[in-house]
Amino acid sequence: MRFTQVEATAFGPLRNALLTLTPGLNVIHGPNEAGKSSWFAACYAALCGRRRQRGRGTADQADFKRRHHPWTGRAWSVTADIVLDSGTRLRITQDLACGSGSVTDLATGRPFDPRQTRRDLLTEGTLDAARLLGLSRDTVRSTIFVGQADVLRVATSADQLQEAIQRAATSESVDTTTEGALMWLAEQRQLRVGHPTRGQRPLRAATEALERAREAAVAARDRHQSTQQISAQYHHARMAATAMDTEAARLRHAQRWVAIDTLRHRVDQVTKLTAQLAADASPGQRPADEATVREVTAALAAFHDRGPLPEPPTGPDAAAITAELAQLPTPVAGDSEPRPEIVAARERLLAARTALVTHRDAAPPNPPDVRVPCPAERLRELASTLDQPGPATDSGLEAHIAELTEQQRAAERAYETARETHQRAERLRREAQQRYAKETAQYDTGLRQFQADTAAYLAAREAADAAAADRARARRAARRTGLAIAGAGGLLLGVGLLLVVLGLVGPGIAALVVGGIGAIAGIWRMRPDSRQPTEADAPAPSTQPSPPPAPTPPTVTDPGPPPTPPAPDTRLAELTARQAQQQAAAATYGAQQEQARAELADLGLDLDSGALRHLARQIDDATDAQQRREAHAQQLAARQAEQDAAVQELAKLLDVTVSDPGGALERFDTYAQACQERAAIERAAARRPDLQRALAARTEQERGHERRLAEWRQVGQRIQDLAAQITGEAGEESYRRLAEWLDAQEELRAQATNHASVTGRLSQLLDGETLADLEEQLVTVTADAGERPATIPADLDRELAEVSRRREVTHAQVAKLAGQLSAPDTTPRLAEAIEAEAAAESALADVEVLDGYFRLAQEQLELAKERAHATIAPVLSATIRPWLPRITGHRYVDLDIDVADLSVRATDRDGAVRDAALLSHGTTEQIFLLLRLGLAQHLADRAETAPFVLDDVTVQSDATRTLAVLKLLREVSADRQVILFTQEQEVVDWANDLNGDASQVVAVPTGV
Amino acid sequence: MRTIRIVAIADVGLDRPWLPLAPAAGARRRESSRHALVRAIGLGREQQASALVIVGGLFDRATVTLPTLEFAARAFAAFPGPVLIAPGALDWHTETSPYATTNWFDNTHLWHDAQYRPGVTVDGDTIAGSAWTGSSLGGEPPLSSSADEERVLYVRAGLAPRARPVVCSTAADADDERVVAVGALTPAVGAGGATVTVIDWSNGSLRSTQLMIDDEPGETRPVDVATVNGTDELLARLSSTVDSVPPWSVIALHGRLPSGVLLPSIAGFTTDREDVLIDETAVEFALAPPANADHSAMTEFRRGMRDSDADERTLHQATALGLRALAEVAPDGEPI
Repeated sequence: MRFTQVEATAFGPLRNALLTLTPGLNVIHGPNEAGKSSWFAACYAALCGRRRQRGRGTADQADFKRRHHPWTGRAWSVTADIVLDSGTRLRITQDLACGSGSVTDLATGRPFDPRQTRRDLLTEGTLDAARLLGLSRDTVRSTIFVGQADVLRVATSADQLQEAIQRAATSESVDTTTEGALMWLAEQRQLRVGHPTRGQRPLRAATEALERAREAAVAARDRHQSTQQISAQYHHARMAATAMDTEAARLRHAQRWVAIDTLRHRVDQVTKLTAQLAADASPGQRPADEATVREVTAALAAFHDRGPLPEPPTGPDAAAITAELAQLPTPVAGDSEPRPEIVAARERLLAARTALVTHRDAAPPNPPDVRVPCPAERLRELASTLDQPGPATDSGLEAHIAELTEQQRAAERAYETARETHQRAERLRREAQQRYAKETAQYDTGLRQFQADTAAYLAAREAADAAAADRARARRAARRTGLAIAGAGGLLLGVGLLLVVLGLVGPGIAALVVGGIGAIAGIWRMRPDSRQPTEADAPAPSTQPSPPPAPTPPTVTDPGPPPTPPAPDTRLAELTARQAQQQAAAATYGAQQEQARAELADLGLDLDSGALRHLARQIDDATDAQQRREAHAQQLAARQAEQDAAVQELAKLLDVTVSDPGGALERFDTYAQACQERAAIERAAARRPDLQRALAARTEQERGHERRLAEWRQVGQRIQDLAAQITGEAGEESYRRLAEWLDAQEELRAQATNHASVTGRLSQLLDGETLADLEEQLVTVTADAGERPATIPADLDRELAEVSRRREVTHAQVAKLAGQLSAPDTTPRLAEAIEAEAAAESALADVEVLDGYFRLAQEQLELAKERAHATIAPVLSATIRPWLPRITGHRYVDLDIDVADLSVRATDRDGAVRDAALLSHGTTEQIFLLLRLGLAQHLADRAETAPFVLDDVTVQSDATRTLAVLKLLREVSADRQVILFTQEQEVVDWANDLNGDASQVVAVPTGV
Repeated sequence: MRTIRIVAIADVGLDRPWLPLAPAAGARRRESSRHALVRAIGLGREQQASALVIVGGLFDRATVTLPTLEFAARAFAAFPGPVLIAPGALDWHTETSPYATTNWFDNTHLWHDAQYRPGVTVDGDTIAGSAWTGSSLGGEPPLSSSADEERVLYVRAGLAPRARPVVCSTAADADDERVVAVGALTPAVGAGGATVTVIDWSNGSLRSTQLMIDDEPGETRPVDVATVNGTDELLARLSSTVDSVPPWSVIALHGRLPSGVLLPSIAGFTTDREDVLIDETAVEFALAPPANADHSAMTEFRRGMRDSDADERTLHQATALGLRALAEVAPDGEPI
């Protein structure tokens, strides 16, 4: 599709203005405020109309109206004539004021039927001819209509290229990014939902609120249930208390009748006891006093318990024991048994005497006599020296050493020769290098001179070429003039000859003369001009400087590393050392043999090693025997000393003076005998304490017996005394009489007690009242007691007490429950708690539902992003890829758009991949424009070619970038119509230089 | 036979929770039910009614408190005639129910049997009643078969058998002149205002009048969401509606919600009117089909949402959130 003309009937500052357009590149130029942007908008409005519906885009539409509504009048319309790729010519009329429009087929003059293109030409209810392209008024703004700001944004930030693709992949309107939407969703989800356990966002707040509400509801339910239970308990307790009251009243009623019965019984008892006392005779004999009765009772008991006459103690009496004490011996001083140290000293003496005798009997024999003035060890050494063989020698060792020595010397000589050869070669190499360095310096000087001479030569040659060109032009001009003059002269000659032939000799001759002169002059002029500079003025080729010859690098080869001196032969050193060792061993052996022979000769001994060793053994035996004898003598003396010491020790302990063992032992036997005697005396004297204790015990026994005997007699006497005192007579019957008296006293005592009991009971029954009083009380209470109960519990008091106790408990329970029911309650009411719990549940459910919505939207949007990227990336890459080498001068040969993030990367001719953000601004701008075209192709169905309309897209570019964009647009215009509004003269000049084709350059129409 | 005037009320709902109202609004609603009870008793006194009949729903058995029961007992004591209570489904009677543990005054009679039992007799005419009990919840007891049945008026909460003079709390048959349905004194939110029924009973016939004692009864206000153009417009319309409805009203959203429009609850709509409920349950959801040729992320998103197995509401609202996200991050359009 392309525009053929756009008519701004009433649009912004334009009125009845017409812009005619060609199929290719259209450059519409004009200064600022000439109406370029209005024409750009008019083209857009003519194609797409404007949105009439409310809703999103209202702000944009209001801005569109503010900017492009006609400055005067109500009319606001624009018309465009277009040609579809099929050749169909249409006229689109947009009444922007009322949002209506029409499409007319110019071929038929009838309204265009959109069904021909199988498209709906309405967008949001108003005419949108962009639908013919498969686009919409939103998408064309983002694709084929490119404003100044669009390019400027990409030029200032290369990242915008990626973002532009991302926007394209996101929505039809190409004005948002999925990444941004995902971030918005994440932020909103964080804000309106948040984390369940962190922060105070709604999810956690709602969760905690629900927990609190549930706790409060549980507490309220518990409290409510408790209150209901208490209320029921209170109700039942009150009923129970009432029942208890009734039961207690019943029992108290019975209790009153029980009291009546008791009173009646009391009256009867008083009457009976009073009669009994009255009938009872007064007591005659009074019982004896209590003290006397107790005294008699005690005396009788003591007499009854005294038993038989006490027996005297048995065994030796005190006098016998005293006599035995007097006969005991007195203990003597001294040991009663041998002291242990003395016994031990005696044992040591016996042991020392035995050891001395035994050792004396075991004396060793005397040693043999061997007289040789040499120790046995030396004799053995001399024998060993005589038996020692001579050291072994290597017979071929010397010859081997000589051979190796000769080889070493030959190697040293070869090394000296090589070392001298290397020194000579090294000296030659250094000399060659010095020469080459000198020649190189000379060459550099010559080269600089050659360059200067060459520059001068080229300048002279250029001047000569210019002069030659001038001369050639002059020669061609002179040749053309001479040819003309010669031609004219020839013509006059012909004319003169003709005149002469015709008889006009005079004029003919004159013409011949003039013609001849002209022909000669022309020919003369055509000859080479000797006055002009010739080729000889140019510098001769021979003068062209020649470059100095380059020095030849030295050809001397590197002698390489210096030779290495030969290493000493380790085998030679080893053999030499071994030879020295053999020689030293032989010398030592000879000296030892000679010394041994001389020493034996001095001793007068044979050179027999066996005899020497036998003699050495004899010397050793004699020495050993002598040593043993000396040792025995020493031990014998020691044992004698030990015996003497033992004798002195024992004598000292026995405190005697003695020097021989026999005397000491006899003195010990005397001491032991004395000890036995003293021990016998001590054993006899030791019985004294026992006899003294036996004497004391016996004395006490005898005293006790005397005391018991006195008491026994006293009890009998007491009976006699009491019988005499009470009955008036004593004697053998005293005990019996006292017992009979005591029985009589018991009977008298019982009679007195019974009388006192009756009197006491009567007094107790009357309790200070009289019988008449009691009878009156009985009449009174019986009259007020009411009806006698049918039955009276057997255990009335206990039952009444139990009922009273239970009644008190019940009433206390009632009071307690009443107190609990009236206690202030801080728990929220159950209904409110339930409502709060439900509200909290609802709030949490709302947040969770919202969270689910956010989660689903995020998941699907993420998937949608991936799918969209996978779709758009290859399309855009395929669109831009063929253009890239051309717009980058083949610096970049390929372009790739990453499916993951739609980032753009270009590949240069060396295969290096670069991020599009690193490309030049000019390249980025061109890629952006291509991207717009690619997007248009991606969004449209490619059935119709879309035009490309641009408004001052190069105004921010430098000359180079502007030229690059213009070249691109020129190439694009080969396939589609390009309309470029510009204010830059540079662009206009460039467009004017284009050869005539489908492009045009026109000034901005201003209309009427 | 003279005409006996009876004032009947039902569904007082003392201390009942009013879900989904917030606790503060619920408390106000409970307080209003107390006031309505007092006004109903006053109306009975003004009408010189022979009896005050409570046809079920005096309180919520599960949540009623002792002070409220004491309040009700004292309020009934202020009525000069007999007060007859027929426990219903919300306040069914058992030996442990709040009815049993409350000290009612002498003029208050409680039917506590599932069978119809006489409550009070006025000049030979008997008002009999039946209670919902724990053992026979909702079961319909048989009517008496006495020959003088025309002189018995039956009272029972819920549906009641016809062909007898019956007072019940639910209209069994609006055309049956022998059945009087008593309106709720504290109706559900959005279901009108407090209603007291005045019944004249004479010679077996019933004539009733419903008296509205609420100055500003609540209502259910429908809002069609099918015509809104965007979430903002829906919220604006909803906000103005909330401001215009009386207390205890329900705003019922209905219609097919256009694609891309968020529900008020998802859009975060809030209001200070806690006495107004917003009902979104009747909303249907419209989903725009994605264009087949369009492979932009937005359209792929629509396509992916369409193909997901989420329910219709989730599908619609998640799509709307995604579209909202795309719109929110869109920069201002370049002027042309």
